[in-house]
Amino acid sequence: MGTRFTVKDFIFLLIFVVLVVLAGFTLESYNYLSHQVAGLRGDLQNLDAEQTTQLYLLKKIQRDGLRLQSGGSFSTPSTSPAPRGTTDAATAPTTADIRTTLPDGARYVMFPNPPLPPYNPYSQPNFAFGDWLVESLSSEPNRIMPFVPQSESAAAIQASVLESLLVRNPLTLKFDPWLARSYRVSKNGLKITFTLRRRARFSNGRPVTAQDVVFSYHTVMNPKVNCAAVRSYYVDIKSCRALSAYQVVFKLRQPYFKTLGVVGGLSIIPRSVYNFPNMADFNNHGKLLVGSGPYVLKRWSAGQQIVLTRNARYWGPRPIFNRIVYRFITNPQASLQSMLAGQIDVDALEPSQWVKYHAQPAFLKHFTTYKYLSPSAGYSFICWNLNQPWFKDRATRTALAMLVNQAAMIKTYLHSLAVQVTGPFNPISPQNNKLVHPIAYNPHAARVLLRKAGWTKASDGILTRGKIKFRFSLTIPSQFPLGKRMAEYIKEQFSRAGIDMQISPLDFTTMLQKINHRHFDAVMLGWSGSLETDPYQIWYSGSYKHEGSNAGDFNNPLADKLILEGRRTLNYKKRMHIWHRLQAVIYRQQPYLFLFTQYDLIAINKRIANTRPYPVFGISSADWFVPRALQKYH
Amino acid sequence: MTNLTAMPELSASAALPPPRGYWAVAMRKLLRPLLVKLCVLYIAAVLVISVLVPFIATGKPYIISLHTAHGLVTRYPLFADLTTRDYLTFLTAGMLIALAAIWRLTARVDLLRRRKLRWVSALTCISATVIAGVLVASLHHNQFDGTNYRHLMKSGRATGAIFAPIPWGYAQMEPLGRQAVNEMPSWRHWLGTDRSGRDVLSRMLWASRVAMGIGFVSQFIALSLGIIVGALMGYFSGVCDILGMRIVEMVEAIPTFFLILTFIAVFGRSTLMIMIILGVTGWTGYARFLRAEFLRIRQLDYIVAARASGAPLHSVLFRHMLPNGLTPVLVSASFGLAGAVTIESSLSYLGIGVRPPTPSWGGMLNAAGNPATVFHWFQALPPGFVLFLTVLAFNLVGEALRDAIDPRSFS
Repeated sequence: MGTRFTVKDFIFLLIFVVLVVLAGFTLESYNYLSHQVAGLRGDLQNLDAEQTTQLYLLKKIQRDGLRLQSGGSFSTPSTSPAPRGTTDAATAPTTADIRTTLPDGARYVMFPNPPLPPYNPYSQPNFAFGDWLVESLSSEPNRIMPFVPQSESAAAIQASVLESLLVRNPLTLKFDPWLARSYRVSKNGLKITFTLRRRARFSNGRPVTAQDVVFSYHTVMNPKVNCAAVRSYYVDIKSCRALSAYQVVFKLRQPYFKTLGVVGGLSIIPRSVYNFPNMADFNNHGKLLVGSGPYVLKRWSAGQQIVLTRNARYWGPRPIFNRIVYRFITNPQASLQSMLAGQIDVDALEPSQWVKYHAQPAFLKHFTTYKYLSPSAGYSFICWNLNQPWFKDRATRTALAMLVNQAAMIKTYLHSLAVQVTGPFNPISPQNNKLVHPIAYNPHAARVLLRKAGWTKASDGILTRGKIKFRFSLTIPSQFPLGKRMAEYIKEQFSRAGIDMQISPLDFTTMLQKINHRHFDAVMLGWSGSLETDPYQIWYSGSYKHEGSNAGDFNNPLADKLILEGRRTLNYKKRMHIWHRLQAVIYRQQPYLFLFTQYDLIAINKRIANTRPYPVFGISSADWFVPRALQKYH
Repeated sequence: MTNLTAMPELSASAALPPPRGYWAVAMRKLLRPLLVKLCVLYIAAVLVISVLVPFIATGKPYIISLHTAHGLVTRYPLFADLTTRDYLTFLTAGMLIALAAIWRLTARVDLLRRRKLRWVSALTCISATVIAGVLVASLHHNQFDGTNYRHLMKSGRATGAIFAPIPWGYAQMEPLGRQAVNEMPSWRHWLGTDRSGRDVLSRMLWASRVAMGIGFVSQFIALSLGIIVGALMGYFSGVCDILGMRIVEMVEAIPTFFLILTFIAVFGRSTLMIMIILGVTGWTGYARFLRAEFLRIRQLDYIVAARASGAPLHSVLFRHMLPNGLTPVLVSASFGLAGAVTIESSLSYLGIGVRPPTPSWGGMLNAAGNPATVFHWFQALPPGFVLFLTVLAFNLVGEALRDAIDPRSFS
């Protein structure tokens, strides 16, 4: 019959299938080619812009010789303290780093190679690769994915895995290009263009492209991703667009003083890894940490340690250590013991430990110690929940501050190794208003003030206002012995005035949860800081919503106005003036009981070399290495 | 019929010293060795201190005369400062003493009246305590007195104060300006001060209340549960036993320590919670013991006889079987007490036990060496020693009790 399947039919079918496949393939390759062409076109445009810039620079050099211009400066490899003899980067043709102002008023910075640390470890005489760096973390993070975690320990781990477009030079405090090869900030500060380094790669081998930058930005801005605290810094950005495969432009609604730091500090994450169909899933991948950094996450042993291992495909200067190990040691005494036993290399000492050890010859034989005030140390405080009836009025809050003898507390509990703060700014930061004086310890005045605020002693001895008894609970992190002692002291001081404060120590994770859900009366915590912090995250009234950082619901129109104004002000002096005013407003309102900032008390095992601290930022582990003779992990 | 006529004779013979019962003999045997005597004395002393500590170690004076605008006013701050919890503790202690007294006083009453007398007076006593407890809990409001009476005396604003033997409260600190933290023992502070400038001795005595409270309350809960479940399993056996034993196995699989850690992490700290968790997870041992005893006893002739003569279930269970099956359970209860004290101390040592500033022996041990780099022996030694003695005493008494009630050792 005609229905029999013959060899001829088979051949026809085969040809048909081959034709269909070929057609599909052709379409696909055309598609691919057109994409490539588009990319190339973008690159050409980009090159064009670059070329114009280069031409201008060349002309400028010809005209001025190599003399430095005010506003722009050239730093040649010889002036940067980074002779590039030992790194992969050295093989690249060395052209000068450029930092200048273009004719249209834009600032332009271009570093042909990623900058090496100012105290360049690679050029040290006894420099060697290898060995491990073992650090201790005082708390185990519950999640370490980018953007979402708010704990300091997660940030410490991310620092070696994630990278951003720019890095701050700890010596000059200027922003240097890192993942970006160059950046250009328009004159009005509303447009920032980054050109990425072509050789930058994520640890999964994919190149870091403009798409990844755009994706990272959109991840932060995605309301489904629980990172309100990070998001609050990006509210002023209007758009983020990829111009070509390696060029990306950020546009701003209004000028913002931290733009460069914020945009340049955005952690760039691979789109290929984090692009979930439903971005809410981002919150569920707490252990997913992939970036372009020198180290990759190797192992997380819950309750014990996190091990980072050298990124074998790292695009930049070869990472020095083979591994970085973070041990979770919550107890300061235990962490010092492990340090003495040589199990960890770096430890932040408690004040009492410092007093005992910092002058002990036996200790100094094995460890280097550093003591300095650092802007990143931040400050401790007690946050009053301003929605609770006790803390609604300023007079009461001021009285509470008067009841606590902070000077005595710092002297007795901290061995004078701390400085009282008078607002949300670090005492060594230029933001700090030195004219704001701390509220003096004065229990008598406090009692008068409490009486004025309507608090009278009821028959049972507790201060009462209307039907409200002054009885609240102070939540403290349970693994924080110093906090417990301070809380106990404050409790006693309050009780003298007829205020019943219960202390409820909570596990840190549970505590953060309660704070995020605003289920607390008062909470003792600390904020970490930076050289110039943006008060928006913590003090702007809008930051109360969406689990933002304004947990106490501080809501002051004048403060809001000053915050918005300060953020817009690019002029340094004017901005500092605004911050000083803001600090006076905040300290007057006493939404927190501001406590103190502690000195960083660091001890580092002597086997680690090149540990000297930078003037403002202190020690930086990027400088460290272990000389060959002292290496012990292989 | 002759029996009836014999009755008067029997009551007449009650004038003679009564024949010693099983318990009387066992108690006598128990207290014979000096070591056990000392242990019992020690436990009694700790119990008395833990009940009366508000009168022994507090910064509030018994009596003080204040100079006010209306002239000299006499106040009794210590008594005014007693909390509802203090009163409830006193009531419970009083009830237990009264029950013991009833037991002892009715020992000479003849057998038939004795039981009724004991029941009636015990029930009266307990219900009176419960009523008084409810009244205190609802009517008494804790006074909140933050006055520093020492300061008042020193500044001449008060006179005629009589302070407690240890005039420091457990949370009372020396002024921070004085730098009186981590002081060595002195006349002012007999065992020195801790790292916040608080009296170590006062804290130690107050901590006995936490330890004893957690020990006794948790074991009371555990015993009640264990006895009920064990008795039911042992008496009915069969399906009841099989189901009961599975429940016992399930509860035994719960890691108590981690359960407490979890609860503390989620619900915050509460001594009551620790007591309840220890009780609710600690009954299985008692249940197993009692079940085994009951399985044995229910086969004995006198139980068969009791059942055959038509005794009701509760009578067979509680009158005939329980008194004979309970003794080994009491032995393990004294070990259980020691265990509960240890668990509480371990929790506090890890810094997750009671709510600060409430003292606890384990917490004081922790504070003695953490995070201070100097180990303060005078802060660690006393609570450590007391903790050791307490656990040892309970264990020794338990062991002695086991030997004492061993029928083979009766001569």
